[in-house]
Amino acid sequence: MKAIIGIRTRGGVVTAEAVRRRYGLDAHELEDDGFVPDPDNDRAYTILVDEESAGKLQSTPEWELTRYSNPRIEPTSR
Amino acid sequence: MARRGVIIELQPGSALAASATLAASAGAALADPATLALAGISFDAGYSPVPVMHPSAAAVAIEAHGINVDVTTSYVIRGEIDDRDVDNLPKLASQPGVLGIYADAAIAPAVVCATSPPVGTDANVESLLCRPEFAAKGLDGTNVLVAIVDTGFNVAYLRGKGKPALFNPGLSWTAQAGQVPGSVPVNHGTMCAFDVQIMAPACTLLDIVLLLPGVAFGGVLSDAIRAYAHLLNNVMPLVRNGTHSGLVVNNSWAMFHASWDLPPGNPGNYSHNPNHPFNRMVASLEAAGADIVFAAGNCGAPCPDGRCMGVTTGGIFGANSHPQVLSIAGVDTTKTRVGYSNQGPGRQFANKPDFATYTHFAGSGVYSADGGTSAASPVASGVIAAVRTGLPFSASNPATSPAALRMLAINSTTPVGAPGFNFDLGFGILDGCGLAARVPPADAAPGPAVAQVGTTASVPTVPDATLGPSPVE
Repeated sequence: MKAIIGIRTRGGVVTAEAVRRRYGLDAHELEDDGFVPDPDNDRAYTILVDEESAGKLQSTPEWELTRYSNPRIEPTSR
Repeated sequence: MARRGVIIELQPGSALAASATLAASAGAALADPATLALAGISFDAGYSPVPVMHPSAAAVAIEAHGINVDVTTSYVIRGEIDDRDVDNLPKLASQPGVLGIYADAAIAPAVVCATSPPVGTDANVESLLCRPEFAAKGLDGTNVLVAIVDTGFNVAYLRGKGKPALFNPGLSWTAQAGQVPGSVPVNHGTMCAFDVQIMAPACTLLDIVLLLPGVAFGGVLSDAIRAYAHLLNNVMPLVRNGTHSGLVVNNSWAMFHASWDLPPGNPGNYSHNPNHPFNRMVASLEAAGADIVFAAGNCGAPCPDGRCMGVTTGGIFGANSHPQVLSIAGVDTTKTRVGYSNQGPGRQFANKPDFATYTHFAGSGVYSADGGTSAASPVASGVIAAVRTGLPFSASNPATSPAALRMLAINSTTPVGAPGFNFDLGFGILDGCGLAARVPPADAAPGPAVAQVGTTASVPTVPDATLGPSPVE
């Protein structure tokens, strides 16, 4: 299960590797396709990290984090 | 005070019956219902008396003379009584000239629920949506990509059912290693892929395996974010450069209950929150040119899915009620709303669903009925894909934008009941004939451009005049 976390930065380009370094995550905790830049806002990113690793991430004035709901989804018939 | 409808049977040969006889023979209502003075009963002056046979008389007549002989023995008329007189019916019925008083019960069509048998077939759906009119104009989904974001589909099964099932494995995607797109065990996603091809048999299917079949039978929204990132970054460029005429994204899935989410007002909430990352991905993919179609959901009254936990209002959550998608309700092939089809308002955008298409028909054979708004959604997606054949997306032509296409579809609906929008079926039932008439034929559309992925090709625009009347929005 992944946690959905939004990152808003005050400036500068963020990469998956920069997020890993900043929060001490390995490539399993934050996979490459778990780093999703916002196509319409170059200061906004979404990361998908292991639920148990989410506690390592803390907001700072430079990087504002928001934890989002990751609800279960199911087919509309069965 | 409340009134209750009743049917009054008049005694043969009575003065009342004589008056009714005259009215019935003239095919008219009772000339002066005030003369029918019966205590506690008011008569419906607009109701023509109807002759009926007494059962025993009918039996004799049929045996002796055949059914055409006139053996009328009484008449029925319509009226109302005070609700408080229900217990006094025997007394009211004992008045001179009255043979009996019966309940005038409200009647309604039988409601289709999840376990109901199928109503009609996919051939009926083809006919109702005017597939021949689309085919005559070459509107069949050729060169249009349709992403089935679901449990995965099975190409061999689809071809065994007579569908072309054109498939692009290279552009497909899976949330979990080990799943092979296009070769997934037959399940919900295969039904959706079948139903898209009812109206767009020549489309190219992409298998976006988001939901796990089997016991778990579902997924989580974080994987939907990854799936949409794939569509945005790896597939959409092929539409924007003209290699393909469009990308239609079918989503026959939903969050079923608010308890699965963070509460409204919480910054992390999904259901009401346009800032949730998945809702933002939906907006971005649509802005890039994709046509996104969502099932409205199955929490409608009177027979909601059990996962709705009895909540039948306001259950179109999150992306299923996104303003930049089509949210599809369901009707059966008699054009009657199925009893589980979700009713608005939507939680992100209130006026949802947008319109209805057909569901609960015998089709793919995956289930006894291709049902739920799960089937209505890919039927609509197939129509949109067919339209894209004649109206390819071009970033430089606003008349081909997803918003313009949504309005074209919404303006091609037939209202059910009062004109205008309602929360049961949105703007009505999609009128395939009307839509086909308003779309340019495929041979008038610009052909695919030869361009590299990631570049922007120059694609000729489709003149606005070919699109018919302007959208309402």
